[in-house]
Amino acid sequence: MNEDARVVKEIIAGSVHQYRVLVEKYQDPVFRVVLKIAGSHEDAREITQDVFVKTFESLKQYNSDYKFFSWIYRIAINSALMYVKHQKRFSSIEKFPIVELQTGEECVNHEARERMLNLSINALPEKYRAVVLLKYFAGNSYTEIAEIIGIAEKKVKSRLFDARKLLKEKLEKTAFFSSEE
Amino acid sequence: MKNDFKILIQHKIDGTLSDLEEAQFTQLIERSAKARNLYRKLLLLDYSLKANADEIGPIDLSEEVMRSIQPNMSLDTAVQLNRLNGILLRRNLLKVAAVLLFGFLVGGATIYFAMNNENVFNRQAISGTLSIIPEAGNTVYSEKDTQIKVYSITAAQLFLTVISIDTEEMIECRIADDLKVLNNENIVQLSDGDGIEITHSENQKIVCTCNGPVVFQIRTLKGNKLALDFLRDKKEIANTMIN
Repeated sequence: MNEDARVVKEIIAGSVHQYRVLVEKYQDPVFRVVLKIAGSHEDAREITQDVFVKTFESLKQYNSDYKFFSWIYRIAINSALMYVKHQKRFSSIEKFPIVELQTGEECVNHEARERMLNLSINALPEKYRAVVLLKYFAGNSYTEIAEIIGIAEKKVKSRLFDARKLLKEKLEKTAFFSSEE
Repeated sequence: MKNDFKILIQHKIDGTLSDLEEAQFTQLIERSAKARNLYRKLLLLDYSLKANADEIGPIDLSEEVMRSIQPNMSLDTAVQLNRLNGILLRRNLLKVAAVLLFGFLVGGATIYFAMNNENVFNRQAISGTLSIIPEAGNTVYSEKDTQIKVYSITAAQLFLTVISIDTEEMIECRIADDLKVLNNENIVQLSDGDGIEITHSENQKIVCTCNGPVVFQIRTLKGNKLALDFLRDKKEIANTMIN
């Protein structure tokens, strides 16, 4: 039994305060992944807190054959996507403007570059976005990503390459690489 | 694109090239301008992604989560309490606020009813019995100068029970909930005055000791069952089950 599964077992047995161990261990990767999808720190904070509460409430459903992070990651992704979908449906255009990627003519500062990158990541098909989020923002190794997604490690590497290439192609249509041209 | 090339670039970006692969990579880059360009852009992208990945979650996040989940209780109880306290309903705050407002209105009406309208029920006619008044949908105990009324109302997820005890004596109301999720915070005194003292009995029931007339509200979730026992001088004078 892995360490996380042991902690979950203790929580179910009555040591609820032990949940802090899991929160502190995973709050940063979960927050970063959610932030990439939600876009704002305030929203990411709220969603991350909800994710940990939801996870706590479903602890009995956790299957210890799998990594705890893979489980919470799925809950986090679903919560963040649901949140974004909800915001888009109910918010005004003014609050969430449709931002076109900047063209190569414009000046690119760090903030603009980050924004272009985020938009491009979120425009990736889910299977590619997942490997990028898990590798860069959740800080997982190839082995861990393979376990979380349920594919071979070699396939993870290949998929990450394709994801980067897709990102590159999307960003080539913007000013992202402009200082490099 | 050939898989070998993909793996070479991937390993180069990850910094995990073997000596042999390094030589192959150098050859490839020297030979092909297209490969050079691709590598340069992927490398820049990798730097940007890494630079973009240093966010740290809010430092008080774990505190907030732990506060939310009632860490001093068992998992089942904590989950029930979470739901009870509406932690997961933050996005529906307006709905909850509306329900609470409704609860306060009912509470206020109950105070008015309890304090000012003594003639609605005929005390003498139902003296010493636990009676159900179908028209009002409440349960009433009445004997001499002690009158107990219990009202329940369901709204959305919430189940509100208002208890009015009109007496000059000391009455104990012992509350047992089937899910054992109630705590002192779920019991709110609605009337003025000294009111109720809340303690816990050995068998985990909540004991509200009333000295004189009092109206209080028990807030729980729809579906929870409450067993109420009313005692005077340690003897049970009435009981009722609410669900």
